[in-house]
Amino acid sequence: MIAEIFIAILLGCIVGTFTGLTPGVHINLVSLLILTFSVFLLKFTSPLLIAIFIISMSITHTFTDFIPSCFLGAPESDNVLSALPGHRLLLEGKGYEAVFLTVVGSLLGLILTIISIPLMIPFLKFIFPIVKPYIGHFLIIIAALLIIRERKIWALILFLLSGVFGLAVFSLHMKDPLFPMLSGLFGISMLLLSYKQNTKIPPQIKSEIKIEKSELRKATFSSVVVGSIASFFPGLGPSQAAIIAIELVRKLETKGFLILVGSLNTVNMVVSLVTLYVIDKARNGSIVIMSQILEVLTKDYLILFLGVALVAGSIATVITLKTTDLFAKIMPKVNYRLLCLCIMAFVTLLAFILSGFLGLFVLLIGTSIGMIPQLKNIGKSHLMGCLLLPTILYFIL
Amino acid sequence: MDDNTLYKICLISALIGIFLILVIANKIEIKGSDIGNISEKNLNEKVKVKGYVTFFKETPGLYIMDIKDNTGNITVLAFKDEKINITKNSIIEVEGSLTKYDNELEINADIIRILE
Repeated sequence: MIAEIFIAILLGCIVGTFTGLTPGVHINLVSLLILTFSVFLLKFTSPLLIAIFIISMSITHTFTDFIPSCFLGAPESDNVLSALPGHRLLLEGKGYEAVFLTVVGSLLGLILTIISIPLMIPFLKFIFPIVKPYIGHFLIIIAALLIIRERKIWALILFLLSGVFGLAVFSLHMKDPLFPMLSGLFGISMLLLSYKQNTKIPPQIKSEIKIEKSELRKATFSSVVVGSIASFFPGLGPSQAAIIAIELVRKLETKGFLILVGSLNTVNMVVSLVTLYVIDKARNGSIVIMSQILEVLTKDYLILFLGVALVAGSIATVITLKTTDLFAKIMPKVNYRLLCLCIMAFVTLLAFILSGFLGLFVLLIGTSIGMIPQLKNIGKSHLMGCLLLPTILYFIL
Repeated sequence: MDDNTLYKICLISALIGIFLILVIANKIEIKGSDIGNISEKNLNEKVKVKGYVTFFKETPGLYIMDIKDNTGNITVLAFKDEKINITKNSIIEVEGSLTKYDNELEINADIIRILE
């Protein structure tokens, strides 16, 4: 039994690395495949081992998925002010540092979340029902702060435009609406500008990374608190949590921001297990699928899964750092324009496979809207209106 | 913070994780038991038994079988998700939840392994 558990963890880490490194291949897709073939798989294994595999894969994915987003989408230095901090560091030759910081966030977020679970359970049981009716109003304040901080009319226009776009996409009832929408807004738009501006990746330097203790504390604690609270509510994912955390924790510098972003996904994954145990609801796709296979999550299972998450997180840390080292060596030698073309073609093909012609249409519109922040030199976070506006309406209507 | 510091944190968290896994896995592992030792106090618990099939019936949605070992016999139910090649006298191992129907204990099988 114990040997089987560790084999399931290792297999989960391998598949999680693959899904994290391949743009567009999500853990939900793999989990869904496992559910489809579960009758066949259960001839050779048990529901518990499949659940352990899914958890290990999901945790590993949250560590490795920053590598492609950092190394495969850097904009030209002219637009560097509005670029995501990971890309900015990549263009300064500090791609390794960018990924390292997200790994620090993921690992510390994982450990802190597990430590805070005894506090989380009473909150979830008693305070959650009291707070729930006001979450929509709270999100309106957050969105207003996000727009006011930029002090540009384009921030408001962009937020509303992407919000209406998000509402329209969700009303289409298409398959996998998030992939073409987010790939257009954040992926293809950036790659297209990089291609046009002939971006070159400089040689990557690996030096000692200094993180101020106050910055580390601020980033990890806020990500655990906001990430946990956001994971309790339907419709609030790590992306919305990132916006809330950034607004709440002002003056967070690039390093702190990367630690925070790295932590949120992992926190969401672990807290999903807790919500499944306490209120029998998982807020994360792969954990929902895992619960369908496992049927019942007992206290013993929860503790076992937290142990699995710790082991998988530790393995994922080593895998991610070693892979990043490799990427940092290879990337400056690669023809980046050709790579941009290949990734754009791959993402377009995936959008078509996942969502058909409607997916291609959404990808096109998303790309157009996604280019506005760089052209107008404003923050890309306003594009999150595509998720935030539908979420606000979900809560207040 | 450098790679080594992070690797040290990794090592400690991995060791804590392995400790949790070892403790809990030992607790939740379904130990095989003799059919005669299964009683109402195990109701709704996961059980694992091994024996030979003395009766086998196929209904539109279920497989129903009786299995017997040296200590007793029990009825096993399995949903017909797929065809299984069990005949009378097959030796099988069953893992599943213990339930009660018409005052008789029976096992709702999660996993059936055909041994012979």
